[in-house]
Amino acid sequence: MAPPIKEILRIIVENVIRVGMPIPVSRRVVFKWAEGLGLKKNSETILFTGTLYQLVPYITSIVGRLESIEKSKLSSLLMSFGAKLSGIADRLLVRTPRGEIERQYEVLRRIVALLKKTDTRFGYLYEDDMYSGALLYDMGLDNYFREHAEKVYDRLKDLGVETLITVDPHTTYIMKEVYREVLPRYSLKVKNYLEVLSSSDLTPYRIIRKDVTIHDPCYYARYLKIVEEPRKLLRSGGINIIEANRVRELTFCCGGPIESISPTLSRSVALMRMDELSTSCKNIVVMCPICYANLSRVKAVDTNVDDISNYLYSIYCE
Amino acid sequence: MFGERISEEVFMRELLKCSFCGFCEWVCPTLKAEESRLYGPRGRVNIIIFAIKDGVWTDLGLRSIFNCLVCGACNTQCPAGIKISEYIRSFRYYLISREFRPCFIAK
Repeated sequence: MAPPIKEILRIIVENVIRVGMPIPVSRRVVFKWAEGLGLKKNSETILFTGTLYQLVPYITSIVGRLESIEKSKLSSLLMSFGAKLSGIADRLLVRTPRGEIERQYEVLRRIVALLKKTDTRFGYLYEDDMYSGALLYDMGLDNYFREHAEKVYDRLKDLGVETLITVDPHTTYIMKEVYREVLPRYSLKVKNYLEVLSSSDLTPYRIIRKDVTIHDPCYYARYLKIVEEPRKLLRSGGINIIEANRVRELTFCCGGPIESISPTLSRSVALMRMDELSTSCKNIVVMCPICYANLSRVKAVDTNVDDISNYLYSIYCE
Repeated sequence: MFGERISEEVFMRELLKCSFCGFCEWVCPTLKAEESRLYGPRGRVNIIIFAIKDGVWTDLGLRSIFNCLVCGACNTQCPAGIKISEYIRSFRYYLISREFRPCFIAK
């Protein structure tokens, strides 16, 4: 039996209201990755992570639990019980492998290293790095999304931010397109880090001869038209891209967006996509933490799923 | 398309442009994974039309609406140019703000 939709929506809303994120983790989880990097806090241009990379290991843990609940005949009871005892449930749900958290932190550190190779000067907000509200928007929780968006935008303006550099497709779309639609006074400029890197004429530090296939995230390919930038950056470093069956604006979703509502259906979609991608090449490049999580949970032992930033770091950084 | 700005008239005006050709179905990931046609874009358009026009929907229809990935693949195929996934997302708000209102805190 599938988890009850109302309960899932209620938990998402409660968490965003309570801790500003859809998953109840400590604020330190959001900015711990940046410690020791020497990023300035006060800057007009900031790296805005939207907290997605940091939350992905926790999302993966929760999806695993939800899958078990989905297979249970008592799913509705379990979910409502879990919601009422949310404090205890939170602690049970968010027990997460340390290695996976560190892996996602490393992605963010490598993005910083790559951006430092460009002329762009940027800072980071540390404890003020915030969640965009993407899940509220996706689920049609528009009133809650608007409230959250107003809080995020007001805080960014208070901190003197003018330009955001985003790192994932969901946050990029929300901050670039949806905030502009929802908040008439919105004035922030938003660039994705792949756009920044692609327009910076970076010189490869080393050439890597390797075959890969690219999984285009839906939001990059169809909503934001970020398609050529990653290909250009990889090809400049010697990477040979073997295009899969459905790519670019005709890309096939990884199934990630419904992982909290229907984890089993989400897995079925991921399996179909993984079959398409791994038929082309066993090295799969992803550009979104949600795609990484959902494709990784169905990958075969001989298949490698890795974030594009790891490839770009190997090419452009010492 | 922010939900609260979309009226029933707009839903009906846009979605009745659908000629139910089914071109959208071959790209829909959830339809490939589920047996019911309600899990495809054409089925979801029907769910919305019947819900608004006649006030009719089922648990399966409701689950289908919230199981849409909003990936936008269907939009690339529609000969009528309907932004199907955006109307599905907005319809979630329509449901949440009406009969399907969850017992949220704060509101």
